[in-house]
Amino acid sequence: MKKTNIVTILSFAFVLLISMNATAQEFSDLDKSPMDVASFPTDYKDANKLIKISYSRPQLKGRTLDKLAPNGEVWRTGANEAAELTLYTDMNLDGKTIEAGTYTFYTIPGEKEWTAIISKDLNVWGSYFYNEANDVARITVPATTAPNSLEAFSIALSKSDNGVDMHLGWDKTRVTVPFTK
Amino acid sequence: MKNIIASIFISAILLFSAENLHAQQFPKMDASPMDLAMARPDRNTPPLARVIYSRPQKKGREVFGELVPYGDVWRTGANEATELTLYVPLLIGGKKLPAGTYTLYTVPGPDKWEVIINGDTNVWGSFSYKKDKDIVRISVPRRIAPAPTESLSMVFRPENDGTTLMIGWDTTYIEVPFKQTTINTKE
Repeated sequence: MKKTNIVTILSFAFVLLISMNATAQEFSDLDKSPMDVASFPTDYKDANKLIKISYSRPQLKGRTLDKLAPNGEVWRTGANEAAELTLYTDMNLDGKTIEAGTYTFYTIPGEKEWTAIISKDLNVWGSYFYNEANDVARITVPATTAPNSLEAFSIALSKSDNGVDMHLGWDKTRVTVPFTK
Repeated sequence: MKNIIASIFISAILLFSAENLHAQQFPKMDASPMDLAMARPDRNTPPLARVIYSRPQKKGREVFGELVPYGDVWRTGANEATELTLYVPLLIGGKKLPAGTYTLYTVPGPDKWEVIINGDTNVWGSFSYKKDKDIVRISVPRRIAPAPTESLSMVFRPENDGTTLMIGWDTTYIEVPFKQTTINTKE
């Protein structure tokens, strides 16, 4: 009788422990490279977007951009999941029409110029699974140097004469990818 | 001399505005950062669903009933309202939702929460919530978590017949069950 009681208490405690752990572990902590989103029109009250990009924001933390995103290698354009680009209308990139839809936005950093890649891949982690056959468009744009350094990788969208410019900034490097209507 | 002073002034202004332009162009890190949760039966299978939400933190405040009032439509996070994407049609509350992108609102309560799947997308907050865009509303029990979470958290729990979205903050959590339709296997 006594033994049964102990067994019952022990198994009860064990089950409780397991179920507590299950719930506690299922929720994840805040990410070190948190996600963010940039959309155009930039006014948050305007839900009628043309372009939206969601990306993760790694920070330099004393390191340099060429260490974190090496030149000549396909980069997820951020951290964790590769950056995701949604076009709500057909847009042009370097003379090529990209149909409205959701894409992965890879980049290949370079010292003087960067290549931006619009890929049909979706929901990819990192750039390990990058497949050139899924490219929809590519554009090579000049990289410029800014006087001030950005600690966190940043993307901003702004209006251009005939479309929307996507600005990428990290460390002192700045890159602009022009989407036209 | 006057000219030199004038040109120094002008270049200073130009430099300043160029710096400003750069500084303003790029956003600061968000106090309530975004995060994403994916429903994947396992690592290498295509996803069933995804949520993108912002993660406010408790920071010593009373969350439900105070910071997030009971009975009001809530963006289920911060900043942009929570975005739900279904990659396959799923059943919720007996209703079949086609694959697509939706906004997930909730109405927290002390005992029960309402979960609202709404057809609007890219909405900020719950200010522009339109009831006539509701696609489905279900009522789920409020559950007590064994350990409190500092940040609003979402995770999909895999199920044999679908996936359950768990939404938790502080000592409260809820479960939102999505079932796979049998049609999926044929499609």
